[in-house]
Amino acid sequence: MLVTRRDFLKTSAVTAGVAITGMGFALAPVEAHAAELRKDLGEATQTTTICPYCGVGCGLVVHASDGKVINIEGDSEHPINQGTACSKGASLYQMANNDNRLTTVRYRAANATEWQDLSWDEAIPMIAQRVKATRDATFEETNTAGNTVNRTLGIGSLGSAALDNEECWLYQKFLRAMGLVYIGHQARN
Amino acid sequence: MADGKSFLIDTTKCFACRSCQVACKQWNELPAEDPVPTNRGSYENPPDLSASCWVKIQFKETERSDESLAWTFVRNSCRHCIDAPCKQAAENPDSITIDEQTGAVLFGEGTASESYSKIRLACPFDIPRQGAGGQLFKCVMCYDRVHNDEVPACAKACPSDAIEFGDRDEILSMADARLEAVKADGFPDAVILDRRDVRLLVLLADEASLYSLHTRD
Amino acid sequence: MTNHWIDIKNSDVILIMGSNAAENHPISFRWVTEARVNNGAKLISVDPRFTRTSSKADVYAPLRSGTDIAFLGGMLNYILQNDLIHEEYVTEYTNGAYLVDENYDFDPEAGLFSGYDGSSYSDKSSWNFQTDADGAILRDKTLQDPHCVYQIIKDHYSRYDLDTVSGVTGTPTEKLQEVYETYVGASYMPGTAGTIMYAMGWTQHTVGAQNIRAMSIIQLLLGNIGVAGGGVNALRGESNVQGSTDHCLLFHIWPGYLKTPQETEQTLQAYNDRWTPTATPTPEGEPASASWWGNYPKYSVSFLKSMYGAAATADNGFAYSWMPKRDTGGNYAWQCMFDAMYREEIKGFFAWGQNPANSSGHTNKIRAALAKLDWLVCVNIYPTETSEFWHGPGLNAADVATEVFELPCAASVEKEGSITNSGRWAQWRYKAVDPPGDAKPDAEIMNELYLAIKALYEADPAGAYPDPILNVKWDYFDGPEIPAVLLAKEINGYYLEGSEAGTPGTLVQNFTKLADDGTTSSGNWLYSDSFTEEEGNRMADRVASDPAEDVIGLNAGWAWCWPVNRRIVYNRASVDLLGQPYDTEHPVITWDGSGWVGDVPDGGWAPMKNEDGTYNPDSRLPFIMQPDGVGKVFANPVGASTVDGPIPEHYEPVESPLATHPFGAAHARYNPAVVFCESDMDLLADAGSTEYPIVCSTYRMVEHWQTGVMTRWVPWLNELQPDMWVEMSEELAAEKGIANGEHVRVRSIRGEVQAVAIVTKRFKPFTIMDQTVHQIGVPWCFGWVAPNPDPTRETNGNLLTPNVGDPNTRIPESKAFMVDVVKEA
Repeated sequence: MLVTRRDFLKTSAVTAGVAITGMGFALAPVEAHAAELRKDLGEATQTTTICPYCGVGCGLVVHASDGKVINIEGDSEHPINQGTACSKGASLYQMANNDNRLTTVRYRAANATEWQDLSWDEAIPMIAQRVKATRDATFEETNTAGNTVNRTLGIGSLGSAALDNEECWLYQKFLRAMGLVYIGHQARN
Repeated sequence: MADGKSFLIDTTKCFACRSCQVACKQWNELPAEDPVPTNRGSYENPPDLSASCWVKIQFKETERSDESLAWTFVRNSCRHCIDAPCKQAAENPDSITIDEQTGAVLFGEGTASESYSKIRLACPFDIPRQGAGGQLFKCVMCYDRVHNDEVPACAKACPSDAIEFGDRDEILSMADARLEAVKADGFPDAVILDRRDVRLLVLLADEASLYSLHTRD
Repeated sequence: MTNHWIDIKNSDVILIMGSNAAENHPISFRWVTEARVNNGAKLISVDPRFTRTSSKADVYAPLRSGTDIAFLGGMLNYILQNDLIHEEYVTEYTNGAYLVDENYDFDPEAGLFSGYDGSSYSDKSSWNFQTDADGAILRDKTLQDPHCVYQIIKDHYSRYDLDTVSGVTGTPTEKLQEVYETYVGASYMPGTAGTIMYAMGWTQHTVGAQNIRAMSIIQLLLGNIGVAGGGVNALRGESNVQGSTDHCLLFHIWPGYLKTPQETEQTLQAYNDRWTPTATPTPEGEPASASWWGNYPKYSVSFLKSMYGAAATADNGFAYSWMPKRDTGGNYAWQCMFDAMYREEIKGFFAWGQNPANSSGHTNKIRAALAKLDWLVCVNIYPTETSEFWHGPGLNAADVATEVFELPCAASVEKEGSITNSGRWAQWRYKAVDPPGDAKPDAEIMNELYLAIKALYEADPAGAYPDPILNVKWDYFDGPEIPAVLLAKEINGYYLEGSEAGTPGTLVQNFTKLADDGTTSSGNWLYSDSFTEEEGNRMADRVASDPAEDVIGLNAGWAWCWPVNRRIVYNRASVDLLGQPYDTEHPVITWDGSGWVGDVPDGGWAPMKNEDGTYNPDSRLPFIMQPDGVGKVFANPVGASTVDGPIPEHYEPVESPLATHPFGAAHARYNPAVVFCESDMDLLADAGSTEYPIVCSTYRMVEHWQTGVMTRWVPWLNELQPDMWVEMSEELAAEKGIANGEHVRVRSIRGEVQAVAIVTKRFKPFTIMDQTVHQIGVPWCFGWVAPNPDPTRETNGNLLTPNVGDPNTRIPESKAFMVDVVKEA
């Protein structure tokens, strides 16, 4: 959701708008310091999120400008963390702005010594073909006892506590529709 | 200037998650040390304050006289002295200024023209560090946030409210009340360091020798 | 968690054991601190190593890794010998007064319960309760009958006296006494509450489930479950490991903890009959058991309708036959999956948001298994040791035939959806920015993959069993609505054609509206109530409550909590038989004469007794998920149960410094129900090995997360914790000639890591059975890919850990194994 500027400057009430422009302060000349916030949050969009690390579920506010995250800090209204964050939560800006993020599909052929970049349009059909080939080759409509089992034991999946609930549910649907039984995630290691 | 602002660092609540170290860098756009320092047989890192590390938690493990183990964590950063010796040591009065509203001690670009050793030696807590361009750096009390009625990034982030920030009179009252509570809780040696002289008050529960207090030897 | 994070503030005493909450769940310490400072709570830390959690504790007690049951057995003995139980709670809300089958036996010499066949407890019949002719369980509420659960456990744990426990755990007897007195003393009286915060320090053992059982028994005896500030609280380590478990990305359960079908359940009828329990009868005139799982068919059929939509009909058994079946007794858990991969039975593998090459036990075996795959698909936001395994340590890329796809996905702030925290709060989050480059939200990747696979099957009439792929309901990406919103609604469930309870096409109010005739859908009954016509997306609710009014901090208006927004489960055990809270200062629910006020009660039935003191037969017992309605002090094999004994017994870790069990040479040394993987790589050090004489445990740290896959790319965090280390005592370091900060190697029979030595007072040698035993510990968050890619430097703690796990869960014993440490040459 978009939150108002007051969610960040929660205690600021009326003066916040004035303060952000740097006006309205009587400063002695020698001791005058810029009143603008170091980060230009005034023009930023603000969305709430939940920290992606541990299971406490702390609320955070994300400030973004021109499609870039410029600031992430604790959501003061969130009843669990009340604006606070641990060192990992406080570092999320560097997850959103990180040159090491994966930005292209990469493929490593059998016995190759290097990655090669692929487009999604190239990669998705390649993966689909491999899934189908393995599934077709390993699918069991009945097991050795003669019972109907309609499954493949030739494909396994792990994942994931890093997915959203809706994605988890969709993923289990995808896997079970394909007949996978080897399904696991972080809860069992 | 009114009474300005102050911090209370309550070491009885700090468990050294070091979100203060990261939140400071996030808000003030400070890079990690480059190259990243190695582990030196401790969790404490980076090894020292720097032009881009303005807050640092210092760890110490010792055994008390009753053989129980104390693993203490205490913050090292600018204390924002009420009567700042660094400012007195500066040649140019504009290099180091005191913020009217907060009482924050602020190093400006002019510190590049000051004597680093002189300013650093003047600091009772050995805080100032020099950047690549010659300018001196340290905690700025996130005065920009404070001017906008928000607390400094470290104080906002602290999970257990081991960093409190507010009007100095309120912080002093809070510190005194907390001191009494800690004493009553079995720590008769509890103390608030430099209560009258600095804006970053540190509450210790145990005797001071159990903490890694970074002061000039 | 039975309770939730904020609720910790209501505790009178907090036991942190099997977790290191200050480091791994840091914001929990906001509420631990609140309890300490403002509720006078005592904090107890029990850990092999003095941690950042211990640094804030009122009482710290060390114990040797893998001896938690001995430690807790001593606490049970203290409780039972001094009769410090919450008597009404035990007799009315637990099975403490129930009479166990006369054939039940425990042989203290052999360390075995009745029903053991030499490899497993295949016959659990003697773990049942005695019943009368009507099937009601016999009981003795005076707790005197020698067959009653109370007397059985009193006898069992009488063996766990302070000296015996100390000899096993290495904890000084005075520390044991201090912990027992502090925890029990502050929480056994009605109206007081103690909480346990545990995590992988309890689960990653071959006795993992029984570690938690031991504490659950303590909590039931003390009346600490269902109350504010109490409960049994698993601190979950990932932001949505609760949700991914609730939605059952696991081999043995369908969403909402429904069972996956076995081969013998060939029809939907047979399946539902197998898993729908019958409520255990109660004596005439007394409250019955709600036995909530009696609703099982409504949930299973509604799930199948969400899976297959209109293609799931009454005529085809709601497409039940399309769902994959497992072999009877077959185990397909993580550990077994990699075993099958190593045997080359698994050819293709998805590692979706996972880094098993670092996170599994015995990662050398994982790498070897990955190299045997035909293809591997990795989905992540950064490169991982899994996606890069083919040119990692020990492998020559030209020899590895596995094809690898690495798909870039969106980070949490780049997509919209919900995640569920450890306190069961499902919280909605929003998209702030687009993902970088070609990265996509995971759901979009799933959609593209599914559509491509479906197209291949549509084009190939000879494709294997295409029906489930062609007919699965998949209509979340077709319109303008955000897919996550449509999926959230699907999970909540709809009224469907033919429904008379609600308008077809509208969202059901909650799971009490679900039907077993195909007129409702619900992707996960536990989440039904989260997204409704009346209240919209409740996971996005943001009304924090006023602490003056919401004294215990339920925050019912903030996000949404399963089930049905109940913030503290089993809360009908927080009140006396007349419905009045045991703790009047921290009431969870209260009967006001006509209804319950406070939290959403575990069922709205009136209190168990009428005003005149007679039982109300229209009421229900408080533990509504159990067939007999009460908390399980003794794990009878009806409803939730364990495979390795009805009550916990101390067994040594599979790898142990002791050659024999400390209770006697004839006693089963390790958990007798453990199942081993049999590959040539599944090596285990001999018990009492002189080659690997040091106990080791793995653990995490606040500055990095899990395998470090998301944090080792973050410079600010690498600055705090840049590199692999191993912690050891000053005494061990002196023996080994190792100085603080020096480089060392730690090796187990399975692998070796390089690390910086942290020589610390925070580890001390243990005295175990009169011998000195050293323990060290290593983190598992480091690896060769980042921050400094170096395939010649091994830094992952799981290279050391064993691939043997708990027989209930198959979670590996990463917390207690044997190593040696040497100074780097």
